[in-house]
Amino acid sequence: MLVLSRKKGESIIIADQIEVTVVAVEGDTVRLGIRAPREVEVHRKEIYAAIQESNKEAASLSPEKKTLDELTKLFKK
Amino acid sequence: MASLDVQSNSGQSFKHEIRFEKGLPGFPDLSAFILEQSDPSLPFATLQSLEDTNISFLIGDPFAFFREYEFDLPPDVEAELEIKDIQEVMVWAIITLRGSLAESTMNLKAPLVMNKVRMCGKQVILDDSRLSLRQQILINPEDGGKQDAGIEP
Repeated sequence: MLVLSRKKGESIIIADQIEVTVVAVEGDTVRLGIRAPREVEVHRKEIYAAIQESNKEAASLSPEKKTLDELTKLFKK
Repeated sequence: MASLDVQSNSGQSFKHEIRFEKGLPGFPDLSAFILEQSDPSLPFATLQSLEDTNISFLIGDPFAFFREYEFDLPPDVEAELEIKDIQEVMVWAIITLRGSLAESTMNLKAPLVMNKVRMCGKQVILDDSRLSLRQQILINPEDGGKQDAGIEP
């Protein structure tokens, strides 16, 4: 991993197009500003990882008929 | 674009191929899915991968489950899905159906936003810390099965 030191207000540029700026440093929290092309998605890593995991779990479960029936009952009047 | 606080899914049965050009988180290589809603009176559907037959999601209409659920569609998503009118938008959320309904959850943090005219979609990760990706599907019969969108603890 490349490690660079930056001060508040300083930036790094990635591949000509993506700019990451240190906006503020407060205690152990660093606030980053990110400028990137629209097609480059930026996410907090732990949230993205949690959604990956949640999708994998949802896809791996084959719903039991009993639970599906219970779910259906919520909306059948 | 205005908040998506309208009921977005029509009352007609639906079976169509939907493209997720960038795949879904966890499944980056799967882009072709069949969305099928067999009973239009119920707010459920399935999303079946055409590329991996083992991959299928149970999805639900989040507005039918959670009356208070709403979000602003990020402008970059609107552009990516070429959404020109709110009427083109269809919103679903992935349900994780576990052994019992009490353990089952819906992902409100990352809804599936689709353009039903262009038949393309995207799982959008919303930047709202109040939305849970494991929102319990609780039962409140007095409220017609609806409840308020949950706040993450």
